Amino acid sequence: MAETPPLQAIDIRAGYGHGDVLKGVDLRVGGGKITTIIGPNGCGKSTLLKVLSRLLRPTAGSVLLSGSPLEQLRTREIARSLAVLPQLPVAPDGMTVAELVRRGRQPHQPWYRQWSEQDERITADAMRDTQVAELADTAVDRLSGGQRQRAWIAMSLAQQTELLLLDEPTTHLDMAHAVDVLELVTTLRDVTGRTIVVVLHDLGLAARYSDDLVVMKAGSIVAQGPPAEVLSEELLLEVFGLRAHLFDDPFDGLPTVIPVRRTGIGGAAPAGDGRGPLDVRDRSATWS
Amino acid sequence: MTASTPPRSWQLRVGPIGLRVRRRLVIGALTAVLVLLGLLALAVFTGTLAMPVDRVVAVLSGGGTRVERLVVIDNRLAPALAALLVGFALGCAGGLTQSITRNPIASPDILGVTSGAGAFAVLLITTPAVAGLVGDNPASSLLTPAAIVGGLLTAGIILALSWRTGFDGVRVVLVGLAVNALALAGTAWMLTRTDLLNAQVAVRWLSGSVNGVKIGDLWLLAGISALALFVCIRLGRDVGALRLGRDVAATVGTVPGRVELVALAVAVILTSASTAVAGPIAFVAFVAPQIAMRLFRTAGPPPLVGGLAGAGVMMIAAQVADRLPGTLPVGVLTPLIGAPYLLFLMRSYVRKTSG
Ligand SMILES: Nc1ncnc2c1ncn2[C@@H]1O[C@H](COP(=O)(O)OP(=O)(O)OP(=O)(O)O)[C@@H](O)[C@H]1O
Ligand SMILES: [Mg+2]
Repeated sequence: MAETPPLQAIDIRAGYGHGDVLKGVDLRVGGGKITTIIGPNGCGKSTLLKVLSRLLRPTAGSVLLSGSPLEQLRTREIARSLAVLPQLPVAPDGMTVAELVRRGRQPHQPWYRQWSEQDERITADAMRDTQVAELADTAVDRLSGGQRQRAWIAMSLAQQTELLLLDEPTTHLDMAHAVDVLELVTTLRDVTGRTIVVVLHDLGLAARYSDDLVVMKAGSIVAQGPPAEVLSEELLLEVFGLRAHLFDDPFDGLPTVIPVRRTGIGGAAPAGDGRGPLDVRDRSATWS
Repeated sequence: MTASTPPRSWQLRVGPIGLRVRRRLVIGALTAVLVLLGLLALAVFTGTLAMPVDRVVAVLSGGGTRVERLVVIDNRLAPALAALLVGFALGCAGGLTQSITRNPIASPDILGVTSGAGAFAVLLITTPAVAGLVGDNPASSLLTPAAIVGGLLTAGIILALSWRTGFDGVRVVLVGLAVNALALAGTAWMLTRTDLLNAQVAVRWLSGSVNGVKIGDLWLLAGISALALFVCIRLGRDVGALRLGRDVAATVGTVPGRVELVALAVAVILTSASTAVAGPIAFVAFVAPQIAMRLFRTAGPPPLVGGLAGAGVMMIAAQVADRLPGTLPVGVLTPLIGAPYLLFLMRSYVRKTSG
């Protein structure tokens, strides 16, 4: 396998026409590592992935793929070395899983050769690895949320790129399938040396499966590094407004996050933590 | 689950060319071509004026009397070929625009490209200085460029008004509906301002008809259709990728803006050229790709087989119009197929959004 082309973002500013969503982001990924981006809803994680894959042009700064500015590369060239799975993509009615996954081969095919034994094999492998092979001829719109998510991941895998960007690949997945996806990501890293960037909301899984964590808040990166160094109770409170206990897992020593209950039985909620408890009774009162 | 089903697709590998086609699509397309040939034969060999088969064959092989040639070539073959080409062009154009906008409503006839082309042609017919040159031949050589310019101009106006940071399917539809209404109003206004004779010519052309079309009027549309055929094959997978949304299309190497622009340009030229031949024909571009999508179970409205479906719809409508009492133009019949489908689509839309 050729040397992994690192992806580098330099002082990125980007938005959707109403001010900047990303306010100067620097990031380097590469070297066959798993980098996980965490941060609260709306902080700009998906926007960052879009800029890294040129789906959104930054208003300032630049992104380098193997040292070349993205804006100088052809779309197909980018697609051959970088696959990105957007958050919540939608397939047209009636498109089957196999048809979807086969789309992942497009960047490698000239227009007059849209099928070959090799493409067929890679497509089958991608569906097997994501456990959707049995669903190959089922329409994507008739799958469960988790099956659908895995079909889309299969499409990105079939692209066989050295860089893989996944925006919340575990939403809609049950715990076992979420772990399956992250194990698959780990295998991809270990066996093929791919570099993977993932956006995750589950801090426990993020801590467990990442080589590096990137913590974002309001359009900026506030911390970056190995999970054990980055995660702290203060950081969780500052970035997420989340009061949580952080301790090393007695089995493998990885950081584990346990949120502190703010209400109810056994809740160790101290008063005056700066964030009022979510008062359910208040809301039900207004309904009646 | 899948083990028992027969192979759903055929693979083809010849030299550098590699194809994978769904069986249903291949069989369906071949059947469609056979049906079209059958319709063509029906149109040429039968008609209101009885004529023995051997005389028709004689004419087709270059013989026959002048009157026989008039009946077979001018009254039967030319209108049938016109219906075939116009239907193909409209169906193909509709499949392209519906695919790139991911919206079944976004076909050139509903967006006003057809009425825009029509409005321009009427402007020409009702302008006294040129009306004399045009005569009452609706597919004369002057109408063709007028309709094409009108179609392109209308499409340009729709795009300019709906373009913000990029191509936006929903906005294109909304602006298109408004432009369509404007073009129709403008056409009506021009008709009230012109003299009776011109208005009559214009109204006849506006209702959409393939009768009176000469073989010679079809070359341009035939050439454009052949070009469209190539573009559809070349851009087929990019148009297919756009059905997954612009972002996903870009991630697999499709340049959304470029493909949208080419597809849109081809669709507008096809629509304008067919309007120049047969007048503004409503609902074929809208309904044909949708019929093809359900018939061939494709993921999205297909441009090429949509064209075949369009040709079928037009030829059947032309035959029916020809055989009904009174000389009905085919354009009066196509809304009878299209309008109920539009209502059906609206109903399932309303159900989806309010359910
Ligand atoms: N297409 C868009 N048009 C306009 N504003 C947008 C668009 N997409 C995102 N935004 C805005 O940009 C900001 C960041 O959005 P982004 O999707 O990057 O957040 P995120 O960190 O991925 O959040 P989440 O965890 O909910 O996925 C939000 O305030 C959002 O409102
Ligand atoms: Mg997001």
